[in-house]
Amino acid sequence: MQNTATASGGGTAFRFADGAAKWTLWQLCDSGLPTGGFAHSGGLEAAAAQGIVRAKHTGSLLRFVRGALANAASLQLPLLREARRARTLEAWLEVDSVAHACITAEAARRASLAQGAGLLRAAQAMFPLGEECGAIISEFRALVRRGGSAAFSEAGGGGGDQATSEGKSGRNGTEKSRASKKKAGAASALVTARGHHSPAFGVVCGALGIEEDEAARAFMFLVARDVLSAATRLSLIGPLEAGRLVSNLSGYVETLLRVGDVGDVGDVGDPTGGGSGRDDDSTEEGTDAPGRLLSEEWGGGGGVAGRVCQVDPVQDIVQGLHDRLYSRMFNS
Amino acid sequence: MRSTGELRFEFVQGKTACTTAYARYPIKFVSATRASDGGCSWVYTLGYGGGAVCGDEVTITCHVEENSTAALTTQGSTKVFKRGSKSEHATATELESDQCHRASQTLLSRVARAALLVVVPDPVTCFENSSFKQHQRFLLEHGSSLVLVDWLTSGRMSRGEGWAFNRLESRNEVMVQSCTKGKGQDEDNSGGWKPLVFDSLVLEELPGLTVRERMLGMNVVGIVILLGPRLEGLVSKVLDLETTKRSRFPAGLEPKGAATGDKQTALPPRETGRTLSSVSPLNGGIDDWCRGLAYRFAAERTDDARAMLHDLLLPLQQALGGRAPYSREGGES
Repeated sequence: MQNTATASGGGTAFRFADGAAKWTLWQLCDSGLPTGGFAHSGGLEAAAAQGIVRAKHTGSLLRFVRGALANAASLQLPLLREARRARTLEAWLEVDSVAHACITAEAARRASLAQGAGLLRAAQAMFPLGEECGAIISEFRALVRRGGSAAFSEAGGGGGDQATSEGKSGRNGTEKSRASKKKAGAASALVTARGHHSPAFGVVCGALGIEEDEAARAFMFLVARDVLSAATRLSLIGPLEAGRLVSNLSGYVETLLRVGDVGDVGDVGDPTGGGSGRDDDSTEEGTDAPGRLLSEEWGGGGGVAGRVCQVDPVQDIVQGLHDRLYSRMFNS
Repeated sequence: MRSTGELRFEFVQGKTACTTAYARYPIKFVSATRASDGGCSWVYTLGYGGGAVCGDEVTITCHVEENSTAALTTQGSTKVFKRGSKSEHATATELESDQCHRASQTLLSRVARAALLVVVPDPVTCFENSSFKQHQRFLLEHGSSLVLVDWLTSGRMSRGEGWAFNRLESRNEVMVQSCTKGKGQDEDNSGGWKPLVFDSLVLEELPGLTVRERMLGMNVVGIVILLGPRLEGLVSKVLDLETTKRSRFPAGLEPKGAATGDKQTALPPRETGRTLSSVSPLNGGIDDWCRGLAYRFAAERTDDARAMLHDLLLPLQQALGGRAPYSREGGES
């Protein structure tokens, strides 16, 4: 349980009493939050066009929603949790770049970027984010707007050190950015800010003092809600039936949350073991299963990228067909 | 059984040569010189016994040096068997450890400027109760290119096995250099590697959702990743075709013979030959030098998937020394 005391560990202060955090959480999940979630069907429109989900056939719809939730749990939640724990702009950018590499299906990527941008915009306008978190979010948004990158010194091993960020405006700014890099003297890398939804959601929840598990649950609620609200608007089911399904899915979501990261490669054959990897990622050193952690020579390893995965590849393909739809009601 | 392999391809006197091909039991490399006109070096990775037994652990490193062209393939699908409880290879400690419950295969590759690496294996087929983990990492230096095909089938279909393995994990990670240090002089590539594509798939039973349920009657799933300047022509061709499809055919009405006439009633599972595919453009690296696409596919039948792959990659025939991947002629590939 959290309390009103300022958390000393991280730098993100719990600025709210429990009640206040709950209040904002409801607001985050409210359909009135202008993030544009309702413009996306999560691939349902394409699935319906393919005949994979059929009107008045709850079984096919339920299978679809479960697939969407399972994919969200394995792909988005590790990113969300990692970002929820992020304390610096650099750490967030790192998670964001992993998200961008993991979400490659065009429609899904578009949906994630649009909702991430909408959420950050809404959060900044609506919530008292606190000075530190507010500054990080506003800097991040500025980077996304410029379509630019932040350059970080990697001399410190990419720890949580103070990052020197350097925006570049378009491609012409590269030289300038490069010059500033030389000044820093160390090898450095450009990380482009994209603003994917799940990391953004994690960061906003962090700024608002919403607990990690609560944030994960809320995100899953949004996935279920958006798909099933799309289902009513596609006339696949009625609103009461949709509400009943949302309600029923709570148990399924709890199971997924309990199972944790299925993509944790260390625990083959033990699907429940994966969740334990949550807190130790920062301390992982080469003692783990072979192939899991690669040396720097091979690009390094560990971290959130090793836990993110897809579990429903066919659904991913079907969602990718969205852009082939002849007429579309939804954006993805 | 642990094993390591090492491959190195270099461009010598106008041709690509496989200058290092070292492997330890239970794998070996066969360099197929006759299979190509010299423009590309083809190497087969062979496993003794045609596959991997749970407990096997193979790590292959592969360097493709500047300007060279290398193709890695297999001879027949990689079969993953369940390990017998009393295997000769297992020591007592091995049996107790985690490693024993799965087979694993790791491929670490680095592709240099103007080089092309083509990874076109046959599918992975995991048998009932087996576990397999594949981890492939591709480091693309500035100006390099990659073709990666990763696909799997549902098991021994002839025995009615469908997605009956315990667990399959396949991680494909493409990383590009994002060093901002003097682009011109190319200083030792000391920059960090940044993710471009992380495509990871885990198939195992989840509460309330079996693997079979998720597959909607499909027996094959896979991904093709095309990246880099040497694939520019093919990439734009595939993306153009996709644009045409988008403007002309509603989803579910693919312009293919079998699919005509059964649009909305196309329920899974349906008559044979159903396929699904989708294309997404990719780009990344400094100033987006690395462009390409991801082509995801699923099929009911392995033959259909193989034909799709063949058609997709056929334009590469010339670059690959006169051989097209997944062609029927010239042996199984």
